[in-house]
Amino acid sequence: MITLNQNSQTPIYDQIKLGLKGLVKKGLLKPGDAAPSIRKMASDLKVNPNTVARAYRELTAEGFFESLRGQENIISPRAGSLAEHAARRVSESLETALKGAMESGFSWTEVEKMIAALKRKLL
Amino acid sequence: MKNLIILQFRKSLLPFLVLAGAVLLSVPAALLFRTQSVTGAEAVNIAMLFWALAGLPLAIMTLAGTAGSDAASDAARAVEQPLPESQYRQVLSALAVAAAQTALLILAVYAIMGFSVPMDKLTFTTAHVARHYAFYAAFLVLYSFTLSYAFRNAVAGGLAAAALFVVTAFPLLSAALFGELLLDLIPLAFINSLTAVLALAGALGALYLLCRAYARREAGRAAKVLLSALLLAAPALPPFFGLAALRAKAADVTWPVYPLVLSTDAPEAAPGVMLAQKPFTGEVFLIDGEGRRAVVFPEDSDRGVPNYFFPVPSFVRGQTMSASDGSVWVYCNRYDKPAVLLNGSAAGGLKLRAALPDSRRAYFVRGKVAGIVERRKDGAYYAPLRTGMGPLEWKKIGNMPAEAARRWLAGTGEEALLDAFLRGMLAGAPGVAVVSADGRTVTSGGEKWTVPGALGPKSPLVGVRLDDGVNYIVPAGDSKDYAAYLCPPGKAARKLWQGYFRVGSNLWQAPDGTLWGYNRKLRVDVAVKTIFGTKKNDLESPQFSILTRDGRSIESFRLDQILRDLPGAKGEIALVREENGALWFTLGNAYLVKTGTNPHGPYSYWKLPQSVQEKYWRSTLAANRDGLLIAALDGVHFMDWEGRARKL
Amino acid sequence: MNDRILETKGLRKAFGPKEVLKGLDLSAERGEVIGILGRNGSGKTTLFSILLDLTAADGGSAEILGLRPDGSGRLRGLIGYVPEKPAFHGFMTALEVLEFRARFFKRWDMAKALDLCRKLELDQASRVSAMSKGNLAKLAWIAATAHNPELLLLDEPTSGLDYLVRDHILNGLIHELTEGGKTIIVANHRMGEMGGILDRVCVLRDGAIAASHAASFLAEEAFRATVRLESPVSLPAGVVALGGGSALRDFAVFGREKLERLKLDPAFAGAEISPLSLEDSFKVLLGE
Repeated sequence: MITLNQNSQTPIYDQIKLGLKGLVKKGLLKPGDAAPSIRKMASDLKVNPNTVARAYRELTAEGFFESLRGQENIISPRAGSLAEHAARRVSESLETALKGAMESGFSWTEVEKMIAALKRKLL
Repeated sequence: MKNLIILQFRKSLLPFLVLAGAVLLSVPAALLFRTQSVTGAEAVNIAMLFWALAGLPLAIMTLAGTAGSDAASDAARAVEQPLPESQYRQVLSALAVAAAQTALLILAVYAIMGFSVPMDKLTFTTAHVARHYAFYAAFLVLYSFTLSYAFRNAVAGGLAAAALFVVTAFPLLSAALFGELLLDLIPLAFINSLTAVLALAGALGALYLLCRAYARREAGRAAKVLLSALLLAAPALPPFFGLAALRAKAADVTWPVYPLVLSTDAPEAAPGVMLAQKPFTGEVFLIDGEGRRAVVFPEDSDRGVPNYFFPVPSFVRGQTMSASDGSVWVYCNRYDKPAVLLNGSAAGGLKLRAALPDSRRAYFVRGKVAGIVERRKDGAYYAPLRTGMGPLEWKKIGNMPAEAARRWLAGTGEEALLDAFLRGMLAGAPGVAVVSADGRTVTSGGEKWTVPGALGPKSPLVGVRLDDGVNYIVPAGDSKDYAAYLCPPGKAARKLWQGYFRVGSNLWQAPDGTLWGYNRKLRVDVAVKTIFGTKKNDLESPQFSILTRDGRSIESFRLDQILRDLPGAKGEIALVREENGALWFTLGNAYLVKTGTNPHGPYSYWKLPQSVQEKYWRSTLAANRDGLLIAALDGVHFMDWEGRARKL
Repeated sequence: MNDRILETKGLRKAFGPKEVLKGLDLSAERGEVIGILGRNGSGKTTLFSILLDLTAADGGSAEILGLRPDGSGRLRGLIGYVPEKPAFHGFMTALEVLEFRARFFKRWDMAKALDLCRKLELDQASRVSAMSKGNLAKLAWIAATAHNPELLLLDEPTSGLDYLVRDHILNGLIHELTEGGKTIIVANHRMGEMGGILDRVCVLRDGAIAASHAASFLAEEAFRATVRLESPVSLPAGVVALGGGSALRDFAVFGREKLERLKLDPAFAGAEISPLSLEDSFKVLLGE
């Protein structure tokens, strides 16, 4: 389901959160579905269950998960919209940045080069 | 720990079952393969003794050895040490199982033997091992296990254990010999107990140290291994030093020299002197009451190395006889040297008169002239003993009958050897009386007495010198009614005592001339107080008949009360002196007692210093007119009639 | 209950002239998963042996679960230990081994043990003498965890095992962690697949813990800087030379701060920065 990049600078729990959010965005996980148990997720990913537990805690705090009918870690109805929110926010930030670049006189090719360099820096 | 024990049992089940099976199978095998001369029970016993002395020790070394080497193996380290039980207890559980298996095998053998060991059929060594089997088996188990653990190898450990076993057991066995002789020279019981404790504690302690060094890999490993080695070697020290101490003290042990032949007609030993020997040095000497001594055989200069570890006492046989000129004839027979005949005195020394190379049975005889009779391979020889130098004139007096020859070759026979020649010799001697064939008259020299029903026409009677001259005690009567008649010189015979009495047989003369004897012993009950309560013993109290030098007769004199008061005395009771109504007795080899003629009256007693406890209750004392010569653990002592004793 | 499950101070152990541990300090809190990274023969097994009260330390102190190693073997009843080469009595079957051990451990859970047998696909009736290396590893794992110990010591638990068995073991590990409250110390010379499970990595070198890093730090803040160097440079702390050709050189940088500072160095101005894989991080730490 989720793949982790051990070498990434992103903490593992963050990658898990992003991975789950991505699944909801793609529609593979729908609101009302139960997320995989901590144990199963940890086993599948070969990570410390505490890490998974931390990811789940933060997702619950963010409202991505909810407890329903005594079960924990159910995808909440807001999950989809949260994902979309996040996507929209990223899109808006990019748009602002790119617009600024264009107005400063950078060509599209130069912007692409900058993105490539940043990609190397950040990942 | 119980689970570990069960596990160890399971691991060593196969070799144990094989051994147990072998023990059980040897029973039908013994029954099947026995020879005709041996009964079934005896055959099984022999098989079991073989197991006990050879098979079981090997079985122990195998079981304990493999258990020990397994406990030290890498497999044990990997599989068993990670269990939550201390490593030392794991090792102990393996040891416990080996010990339990050993105990079961021993029990099986013992049970098949019927829970009893035929001690009388065993040699000294095997009997000693049988008596201490539990200790020796435990030693072998502990040591095989510990040394196999140390070497991580069952064979090396077993051999090392066997070596240490021999080193420890050998001096113990050797020291036990002294116990056999009732020589209480050093506290053997303490040494044996100390050895046992050291062996047990030492092996367990060594095992503990080795466990810490090998299993726990503690620092200071070399020191721990060295200490273990010392602990394991320590039990060999008490027996070794004990034996050395025993040897040192044994050199002083003095024993009387007993005659080869016990005969009622043998001449009495020379008065006033004791022929004594030191069995552990080989010295034989004649000693008198003043302490002057003359050497018969000197000390052995070198008894050889094996004798160092196994000091075997050698006992000589010999006899003394007084000569007409006051000197003493001494005959002495050593097993590995020719017998010797000497003449002389304690004060002046002894001179060799003859070496008797073929002599196994030689003894003095009385006669007109004192003589010596020697049984040689081809017959009996006689030589008169004359004072002065010059060789002995031997005369053959008879061939050896086949029966006697066989006994002679076999080395047995304290038989009375008075055949016709000897009796004839004796009859012609002064101081000897002869009973007539019809049993009515007793004749000696020129004197004649009438004694109705006198017994012993073939056996000459030796007279006793009292104040009035040579008297004869003649036994008379028939099986219903015996009596002893006194035949004094120059007077008629008169009945002296009731009962059968014969000089040399049950009637003796003390050094001061007092005649005493007994033909009855009565049982006396004694209650002995011990720490466990009172124990009832019964003692034999002889009924003495006494005739003093001046002719007073005391009949039926008993020492019941004294025997009750001094219950430790064992052995013969002898009268040694009479004076003014006071009687001196020796009780066994333990006490000198002075009592009045009233046996319930007051009495004095003195303990004889350091006297040897003779195994067969033979006397270790020689009385003379002035006192007692005592052969003792540390030499010869002399005690006078008032109990004052000194070492000579 | 104390949260410091394990603490050693200055542990020393020498076998004859060879000093294996020279003042080792290690501590573990409840719930931590610690990886001890060390080369073959660096003393990992000796350390475990001391912690398990099997070998006596020459010096220093150790306290585990509130107890000191005293030779009594009590500690071994509270720790789950998977040795590098698991060994059992050859004549026993898997079930017999478990039943035998059950008698030694107070908190043994036989139902759990049998359930693990089933999950790990270990035949209860198979005889130890006939077991493959993988099955022995499974049996060792079950034996170590069936009594629910608070502390697990695993010595090279997956080396030499095939993928499936390794997966089983790792899943079992994660399962134990999920139950909660377990502290796990894994000694390995290759940490790769465990990277995600570890909380902390301690490097055992020259008989002591040379370095101790959070696993997340190594995952997120380890970088490789590739740079063209004209002249030799002095390296600040946290930067390790990785090798390379005469002109083109690779360096490992640990820590984002160190990276930023390095970038300010003119020699490293045109450096190509890329993340350093966990495997490579481990290699660097070992070799340092």
